[in-house]
Amino acid sequence: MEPDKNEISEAWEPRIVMFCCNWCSYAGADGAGIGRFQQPASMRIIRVMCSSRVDPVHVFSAFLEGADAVMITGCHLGDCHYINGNEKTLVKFNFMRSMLKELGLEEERLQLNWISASEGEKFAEVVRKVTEQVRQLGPCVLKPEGVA
Amino acid sequence: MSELKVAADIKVGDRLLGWAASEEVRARGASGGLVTAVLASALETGLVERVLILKKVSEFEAYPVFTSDVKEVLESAGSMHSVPVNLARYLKPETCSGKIALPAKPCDARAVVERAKRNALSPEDTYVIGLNCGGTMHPEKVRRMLETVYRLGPEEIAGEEIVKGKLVFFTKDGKEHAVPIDDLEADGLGRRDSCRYCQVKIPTNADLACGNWGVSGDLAGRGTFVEVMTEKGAELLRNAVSAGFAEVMQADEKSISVREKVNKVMLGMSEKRKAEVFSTIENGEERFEYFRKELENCIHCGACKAVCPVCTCGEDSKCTAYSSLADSYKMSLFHMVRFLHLSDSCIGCGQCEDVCPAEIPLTRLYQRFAVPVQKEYRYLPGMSDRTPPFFALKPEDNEDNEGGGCSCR
Amino acid sequence: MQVKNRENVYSSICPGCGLACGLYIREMVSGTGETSVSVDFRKSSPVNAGKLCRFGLKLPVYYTEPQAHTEPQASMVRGQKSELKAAISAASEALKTAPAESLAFFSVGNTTNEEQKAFSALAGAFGAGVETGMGIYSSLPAKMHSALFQGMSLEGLEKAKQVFLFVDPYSQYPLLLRRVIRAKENGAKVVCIGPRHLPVADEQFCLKPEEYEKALSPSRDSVLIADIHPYSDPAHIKAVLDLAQASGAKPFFLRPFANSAGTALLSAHTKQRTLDKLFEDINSGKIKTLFCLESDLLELAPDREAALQALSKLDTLIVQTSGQGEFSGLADILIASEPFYRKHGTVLNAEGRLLSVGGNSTSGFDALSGLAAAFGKQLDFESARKEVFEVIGLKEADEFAFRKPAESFPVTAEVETPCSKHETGQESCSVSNSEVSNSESCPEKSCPECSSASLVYSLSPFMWHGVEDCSAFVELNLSMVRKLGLVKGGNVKIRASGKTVDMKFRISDIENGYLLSPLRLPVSGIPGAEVELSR
Repeated sequence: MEPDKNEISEAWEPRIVMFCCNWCSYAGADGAGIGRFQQPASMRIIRVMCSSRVDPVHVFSAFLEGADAVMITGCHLGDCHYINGNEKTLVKFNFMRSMLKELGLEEERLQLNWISASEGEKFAEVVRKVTEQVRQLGPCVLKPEGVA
Repeated sequence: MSELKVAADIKVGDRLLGWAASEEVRARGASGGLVTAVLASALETGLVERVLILKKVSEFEAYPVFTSDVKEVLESAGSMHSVPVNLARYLKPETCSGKIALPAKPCDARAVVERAKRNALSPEDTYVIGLNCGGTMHPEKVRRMLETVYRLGPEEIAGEEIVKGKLVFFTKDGKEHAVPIDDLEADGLGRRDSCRYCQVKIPTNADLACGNWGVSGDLAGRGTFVEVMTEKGAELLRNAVSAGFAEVMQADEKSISVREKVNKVMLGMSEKRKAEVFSTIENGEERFEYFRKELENCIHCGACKAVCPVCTCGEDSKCTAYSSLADSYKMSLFHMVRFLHLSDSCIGCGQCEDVCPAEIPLTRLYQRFAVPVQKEYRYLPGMSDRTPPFFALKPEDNEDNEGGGCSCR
Repeated sequence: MQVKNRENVYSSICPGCGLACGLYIREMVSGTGETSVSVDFRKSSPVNAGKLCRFGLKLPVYYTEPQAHTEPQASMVRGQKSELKAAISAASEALKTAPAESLAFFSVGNTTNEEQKAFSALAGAFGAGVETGMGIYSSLPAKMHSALFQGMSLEGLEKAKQVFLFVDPYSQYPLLLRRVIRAKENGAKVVCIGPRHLPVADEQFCLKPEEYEKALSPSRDSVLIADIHPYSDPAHIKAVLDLAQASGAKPFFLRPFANSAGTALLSAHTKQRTLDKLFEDINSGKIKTLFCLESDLLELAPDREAALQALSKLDTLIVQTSGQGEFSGLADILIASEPFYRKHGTVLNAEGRLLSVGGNSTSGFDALSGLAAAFGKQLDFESARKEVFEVIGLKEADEFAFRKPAESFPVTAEVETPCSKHETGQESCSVSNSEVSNSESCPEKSCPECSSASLVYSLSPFMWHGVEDCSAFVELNLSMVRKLGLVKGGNVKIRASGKTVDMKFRISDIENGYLLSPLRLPVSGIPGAEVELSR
């Protein structure tokens, strides 16, 4: 398996699981596409109705299945479609981040960003920035053997 | 000596010295049998329907039972440092009907508080008689200590007590055998690992906080120091005194300060131990390797969750429902979820560690996550009725300036 | 006494395997007689210090769910519910009318020494012995038998200098694991022999029995841990014993049933049939009446369907059990007994401790002794118990005392049974890969068409006791998964003897060429076989 591993790391590209809220950041992703803002193909987007729907189990599963980073995005604070969902997201995010940090993962592996529906350009910029950060970090320690 | 206090004068905040009125109870129970007397009177007078106690099998074995039988309460008396169970786990909706009283070490009392927050029991109907605790011992280690250090057979033992930093065994021939706990612990014996860095020695979160610290002079070994923490506690004690089960008097300044001093010394030792055990692993990869290595022998029995007194999720919980034996992950999802869920709620009682068949130091692992989180949120679980920070609706709710029962951080 | 509407706490032991871990059973019996059972930790138990494995924690399922091992279980006579008494007398009648040579008595353990003693007495009345399903005793020379009963304290194991594990403690005997870990902490080297790469191993081998001597070099301070079960390969057991003899290492044999050590001791005189032979004798009409005590032949049988067919050829199948499985449904006469935790009596564990089961009912014993009495063998509980203590060589049930095996082992007549000389092909590890396992060994070169594998069963308590676990998957290593082109989340097709089964798979750290299964697959019997794999 050793030779395989080398092969993989040469060809390795960050894979990032991104949770987008239906009302803001998912529309932002659309906007980024329509506006033809350049961005790497590193994101695997999962649409959720609200960022607060993202449970720690989802985040951990993403890492355990081989994600190099996880990004949660939602509406700006105060703009939540469900009044205060994203505030709950923030509470959970803080917990997950300190837990993952203590476990030995770099802080950049879990990110939270507020991106509104009109911020297509910001969306692309965030994707570029995060992808570059993760590329610097290399593959995540939780990635199972045999997964690129 | 000051005079006995009448029931009506007992109020929250009182610091008293007390003992059982009955000669027999005094002889059976530790330190004057006050706790036994309070439990017995609560049952006898109908203040509670049942009490949760340890049914004694031997000096080294007892199991929790609910009883309404005063005789069983009297038989359960004694300190039992070698029966490290957490009684709170037995308080659940199926078993809790009517009013219940229980004796509780600080970790039992903390678990009761956390379980109440999770609706596993009704705090109004649960009377918690707290007991000071400097630590408990696993019966397997007690056997080994007797064999290798004390050179005594278990059948010779009549009783055991921790006095002034020494573990004393009383043999049936009337002799005492004392060894400093520090010496025992230097050899990997002595108290359970989690007790050595435990941060609550006096259960100020219970209704009554009882113990022999600060009891000296004539009363040494024959009286109990009791602090009345809540109205329920006052009710318990008033009930015991007015029914003639117990006698109490005002504690003098010396007793109060000695108790405080003992507590300080114990907490200081714990802090020192904590610093040793939880020395920072700076490098992230090394941290991950530490956790991975510790968990590699896990056989997925689920005992750590089954025994956990703060987990009230029941059979189908997030940690078990989404984790499968068929996963070939670098780390089990079960453990990751538990690390997160316990980071604000782990009370460090050590039950998980006690029952792990692969001897994984689980309490240490959970505390690795809990120590920084609980510090960040200034939240000590089980010490106040503050909502666990993870359940907060918004980050500002976690900005607690009162300290949330957290006095030592 | 069993009290209704109050919790009854039994200081019991786990029926999952021969280690006999201590635990509490908390039993609630409702006013209508419905029983619910929960398990609690008994930290003062010297065997396991209160720790339990996955099976121990699943005991409530073992005791109370469908296929239940608790009452209410009614006795049956030829399909009709009947009184216990009537079932006993029907059994007595059946035994009386059958020719003595066509009778067989079967029990692997799972019950007390006292019941085993009564069962032996009953069998003795017909000049027969109790079959324990462990054919291994007949395959080995009698003089080697005593080595199979060398118990040793698990605490003693912690002091070994080297530990050779021929079992997988993680799944088969989990409470062994912590002792091995402690031995390792004390400086021992842990050598594991088997297809799974175990985290505790310092060295890992996958060997055929004839390779043990060459590859392994134990010393006098070593312990060799293997297990004996109905499918033990005689060549494997003999090779372990030879290795022990040559090196002076201590052999320590575990067994998969509660009290299988006591059961084996109490029936050590008899020549044991293998399970295959037992079924062959049923099929050939040699056995016409079979009496099974607390032992589910369907769960144990190498081939379930063949077993069903064979059992239908019996004139009479008498089953005494607390279990309510398919097997008890097949019985012509079913003698219902109390669940294990409610039994009064003793169990001998693998270490050699005589443990009290913790209950106070003797109804199972009484049924057997009543039957024995009907055939002229009087035996009350106290005298049975005395005889048990004599055979075992202990004065009382004391969890801190160990039996001394050498002196008290019943001396059998020196009958040299031919031991099949190293016939390979039967053993669980049949791929000739004797090197230290090495993740760099490239499978592609060694076998161009890697679609066949040796099927190895985990033989965990779940498998022996037919209790369901969440384990409907098989295990392969990563290179096999890649070679087969298996898809994540997909299935692997397993073919053997014309049957095919589709299973989920997981990637595990195991030897190349092996397929591990925690479940019995419908394509093969328990000893495992070569199977074809494909996408």
